[in-house]
Amino acid sequence: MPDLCSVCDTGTLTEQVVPFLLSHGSKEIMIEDHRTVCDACGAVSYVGEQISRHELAVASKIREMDGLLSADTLRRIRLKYKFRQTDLEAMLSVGPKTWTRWERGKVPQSKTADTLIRVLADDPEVARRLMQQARIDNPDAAEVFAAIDEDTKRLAEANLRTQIGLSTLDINPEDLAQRAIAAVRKARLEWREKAA
Amino acid sequence: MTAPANPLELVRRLAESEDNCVIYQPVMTELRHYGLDSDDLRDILCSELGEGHCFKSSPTRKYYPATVSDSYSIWINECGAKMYIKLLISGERLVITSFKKDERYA
Repeated sequence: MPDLCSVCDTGTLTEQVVPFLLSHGSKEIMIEDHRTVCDACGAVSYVGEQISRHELAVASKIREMDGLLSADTLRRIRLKYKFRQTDLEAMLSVGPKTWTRWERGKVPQSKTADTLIRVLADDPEVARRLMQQARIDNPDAAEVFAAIDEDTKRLAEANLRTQIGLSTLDINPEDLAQRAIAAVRKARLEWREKAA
Repeated sequence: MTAPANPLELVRRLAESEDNCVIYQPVMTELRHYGLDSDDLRDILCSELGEGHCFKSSPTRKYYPATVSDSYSIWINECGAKMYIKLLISGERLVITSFKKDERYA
């Protein structure tokens, strides 16, 4: 037996899928909305799983409109560095539970945050720097950065070995690689300071 | 301070699962406005809301006429404001009919 509307006591409550006009900034877009509607008075509510379904649909559409990273991608970026959600909240200077909300998918991140997240996703040096600035103690993430360093060193060494392969000079490629890495870091730091 | 008509223990138990909840459309709109979601609201009901936040308990006039609505006012950090929350229990469902800035403190 269908539920009767408690607002008007006469209408019947039915689950409907109706177009919902979502306004976001200056944009408007239609989404399919699963909701409970009274066929007499028109009261709209979201019951049980309709709540999350509505929120996920709205957030997903906003992400699409603004070209933002998806909630799944945010999670993958975080796990790549073995960051905790609270780490990223501190690194991005956003409030408690904010990253958790973004990852949950029901609230989209701002465009500004999205830009910074893309940068730290692409550049481990930025991620490391933000982690250090926020004074985060995360041994798992530190291990990831150590592994990235090791890999960078190996690549630099391999590159140098190729370059000096034919040389007869007494050169220590490992030492040269370390110097090269240090030089790259210094140059990046100077560039950042200049840009600031 | 007013004692809530709907026992907070039951409110908390129902708020633990989305399946037990009904949220009205204006509440969803307001949550989005503050960058919050329904999980945040359920968290607040489960872990932050206390009897001391209840300031009014009265028969529901518009929605669910046979029930009693409790009105709460609680500071929510993310909103940077005291927020007005109105809820009731109907059968085995927690119904949240209002979530907005508490204008008495505006």
